[in-house]
Amino acid sequence: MKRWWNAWVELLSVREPGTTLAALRIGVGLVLLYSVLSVMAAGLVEVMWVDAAYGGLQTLDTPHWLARVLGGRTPGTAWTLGWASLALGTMLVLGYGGRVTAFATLQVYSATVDTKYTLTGGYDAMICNALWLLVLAESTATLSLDCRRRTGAWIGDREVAAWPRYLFIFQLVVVYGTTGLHKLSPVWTPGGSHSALYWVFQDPTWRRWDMDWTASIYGLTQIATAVAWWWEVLAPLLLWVYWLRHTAERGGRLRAFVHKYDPRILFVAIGITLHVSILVSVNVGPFSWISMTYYLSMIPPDRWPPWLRRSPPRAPAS
Amino acid sequence: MSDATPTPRHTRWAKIRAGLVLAHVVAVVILTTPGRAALLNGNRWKTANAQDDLQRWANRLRGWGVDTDKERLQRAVWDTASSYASVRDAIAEPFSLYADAVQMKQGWAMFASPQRHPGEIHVEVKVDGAWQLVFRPHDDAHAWNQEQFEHNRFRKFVGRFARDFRRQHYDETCAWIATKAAREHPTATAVRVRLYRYESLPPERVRAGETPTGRYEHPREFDAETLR
Repeated sequence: MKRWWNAWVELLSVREPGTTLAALRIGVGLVLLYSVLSVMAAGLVEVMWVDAAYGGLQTLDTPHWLARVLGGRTPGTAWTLGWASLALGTMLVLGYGGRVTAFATLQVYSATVDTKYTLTGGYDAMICNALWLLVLAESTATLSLDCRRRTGAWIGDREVAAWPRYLFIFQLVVVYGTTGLHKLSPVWTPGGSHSALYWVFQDPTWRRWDMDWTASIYGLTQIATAVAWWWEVLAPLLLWVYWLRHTAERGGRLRAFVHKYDPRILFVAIGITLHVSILVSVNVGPFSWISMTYYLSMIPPDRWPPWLRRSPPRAPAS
Repeated sequence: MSDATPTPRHTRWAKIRAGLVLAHVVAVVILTTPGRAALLNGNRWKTANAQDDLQRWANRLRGWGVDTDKERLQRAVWDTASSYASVRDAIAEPFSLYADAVQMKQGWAMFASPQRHPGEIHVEVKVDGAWQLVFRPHDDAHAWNQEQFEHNRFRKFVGRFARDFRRQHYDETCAWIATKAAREHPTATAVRVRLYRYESLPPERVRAGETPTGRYEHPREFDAETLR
């Protein structure tokens, strides 16, 4: 037990260049901007985020302290929160204000969208969770206005704690793993019809356009259903792969295998294919974008193009 | 320096941080497990989709030699889910405090049981004594207010009427739609909003050229003048 605990402490003490966390910050900020702007562009601010008493669609809840402070779900509150979300999202993308900006963005975005359980989406939860991880992270060490102000350059070499990046990976795996375990319907599970994706494509709620043609490739949709289900259910094994690679020096066939045939590549290939397919075929708002943003956490800082990173200065040889 | 002295990476703060991150990880895992609200929603259990799932599971279990039917299976699953939810919610409560404090949400039941009995909102206005369809989804010939209705947040909201019908939500939605329709169709004398329900067709029937036929449910009619 003590050995596991020490390994855990050791793992969470790793420091690395901040490029990946900066990329996550920028990605999350852009998705948040898209989420808010799409509501504004569709003229839905005073529909979705305003109470029925003031002309909105539904009687809303006001669980968030900020919405209460601003006077409840009125048009004034909705617009104030909407514009503040845009301003803070922009600051997040630019990397101004470090953790304070991430925290303020989380509070304001959450107050904006958390109006009623029927009007929020899974992507709102993913955005909020990402913002909380950015509060925990030093995400403006590089590729940021903060870095520019501090060092005079946009790209910095300060190392940051790696564990917030690990938590992004963990969150991604949890989302897929539990989504898979929720899919107990016989249209998903082995031994059933594997017709789930076909039915999704027929549902007017989700389909982006006429998807009747999927009836002619039903067999393919069945294969895709099976792949998606197994991929989601087995997603937690990704953490094991990470552990095996992290402890490569211990040797063994399995470690050699995951080192030679990196299963993470297969995981990412299936995941990106899935999300691009979702993006093209069904309308689930920013869901695919925020999901793919989480994938950035799987890129180690030393894998980014050289022009995006700067190696830490080496100590002079003694 | 003795052997017991922690390395720079194992300072007191490093251990506290490791404990806090571990607590976060445990919180995420526990909160992702389905809770009472997700499992024991009576409305959802009654939907055609859920009943269809139960029937398919009962058939499958019988195929495996288990003596059951849809009703008995439903009772067994409900009882098991009730017991499980009591334990789960008690364990999850302290972690929920953390999640609420940091606006963290963990509930990932996306497309758990794809809808085979969808619902669509259809909007009509009465002009010169005749009903005219002004909106139905995915129909460019009847696309009034399409930009709002086709936004993913609106679609998702309306899609809920097929799997978790709440009268208050539906009535408020119809009233909002009717008010807007009345104001934007000045010659209309009345507005009607209905939920069109149908069963999605299996692939062989779609390939044969069939289109789904359904029925209207929950019609709501409004006098246009009073809404303007």
